[in-house]
Amino acid sequence: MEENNRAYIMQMIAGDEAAFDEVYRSCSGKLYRMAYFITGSRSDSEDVLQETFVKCFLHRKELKDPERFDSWICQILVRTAWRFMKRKKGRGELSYDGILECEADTGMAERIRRDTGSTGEEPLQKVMESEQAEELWRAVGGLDVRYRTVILLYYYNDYSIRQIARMTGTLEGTVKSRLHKARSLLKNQLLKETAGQKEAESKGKNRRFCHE
Amino acid sequence: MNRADDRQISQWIRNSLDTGQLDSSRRETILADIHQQIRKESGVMKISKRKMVLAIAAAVMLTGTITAVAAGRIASLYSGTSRKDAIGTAAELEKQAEGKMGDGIFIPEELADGSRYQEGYVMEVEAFDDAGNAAGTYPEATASYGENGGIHLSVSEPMAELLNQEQQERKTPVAEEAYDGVVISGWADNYLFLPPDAKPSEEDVKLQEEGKLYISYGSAEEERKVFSNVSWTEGERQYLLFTYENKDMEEMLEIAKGYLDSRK
Repeated sequence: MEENNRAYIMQMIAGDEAAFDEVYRSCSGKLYRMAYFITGSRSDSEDVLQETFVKCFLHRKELKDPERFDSWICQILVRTAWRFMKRKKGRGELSYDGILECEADTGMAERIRRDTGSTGEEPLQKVMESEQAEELWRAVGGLDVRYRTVILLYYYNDYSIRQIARMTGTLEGTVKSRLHKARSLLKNQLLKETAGQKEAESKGKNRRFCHE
Repeated sequence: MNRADDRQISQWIRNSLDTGQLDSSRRETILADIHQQIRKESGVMKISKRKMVLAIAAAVMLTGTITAVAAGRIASLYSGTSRKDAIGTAAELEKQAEGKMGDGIFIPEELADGSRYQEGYVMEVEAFDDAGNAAGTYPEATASYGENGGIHLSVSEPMAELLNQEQQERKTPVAEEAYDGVVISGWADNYLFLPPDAKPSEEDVKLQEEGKLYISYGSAEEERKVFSNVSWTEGERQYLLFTYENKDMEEMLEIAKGYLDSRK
């Protein structure tokens, strides 16, 4: 942990509001992206982020060791997101939009597509990657929220099985089983896409050969 | 599953999530909402006006008045927004704002620099004195313009005491121009955004101490921006246009004049 962050966290625990603001500014980006991965919606992610930091300040004295801040705040975020999703499910509002289905990212994909004709192979690769990513997001969206969370904490945050079990309030065996199932699904998806990519590359080569 | 697969999944997640950024304007608005929620739940947190001015949302309300406020006077302002409440058209925002503040609100589709309406909110701003006591509420409509919400327009009707207080305590404007029966005043504040682990130079720290620079942490890379704003008052109604997009004061004044011309 950076010395600056550690100092801010200690000041925040002591009740310093300016330090709390700096802690928020330094880690809200990453936590927002994590919330997005779990909820699949920008507005839900903002609500989860807000609730997480309200709890962070109100329960700050429960954090005894500033070094444990990252896992502590992640635990709050995960449990807040789960409760949020449960409430939505109860109201029949649950949906997983997927990160590439939001307006801004669709716009980005569209810009890449428009560039394809003028700038050669690299943009085509980006389009393929963008399409693959969309399929992967659909696959992730099909997973139960608990499986998505395990994937996130393991692959994005690099937490160990034991840490994930503690953060999600489950047994290590349960985490392992969820991780196994989720990664198998993603692996199959990645294999399908790799095959598709090879096929597309092969077609691309043929086209170039014909032109020559 | 082998390590290569793990690396591939990990890389895909990182690449995908890195595209989902929270813009600084929205980040600060959420922070203001967090403070408001904490205040409601605990009643112990107070935000100084200076800190609120650092937030874009709060800058809408008290631009140019960043000095400390004496006890018993209005010291902090809160307004909560949720993206779910965003109003998608200028016409609808105008209609809803008139519902709160009466006729004569003008929300243009486009500003004089060509930036188009993106989204807007109608909200109630809560004012608190230095002891944390509620000092009243007033209505406000805000609209953002440009692809990245670069320019913001605010129309509000603050309480008379707040308007008087602002007049007494405001910093000297860097520009002032009489136009169409109003006096447009402009301010420009320098901001330095730094990554969380970065250290400002001694020179920047000195500028901050002199009140010439505001340093804020949390951005991906070092950025220097000028927060430019122009405002004017007509009766009880206060107008404000502001941006972090490094527009010079002359351009901001032109946008303000364009607004006044186009509503005729």
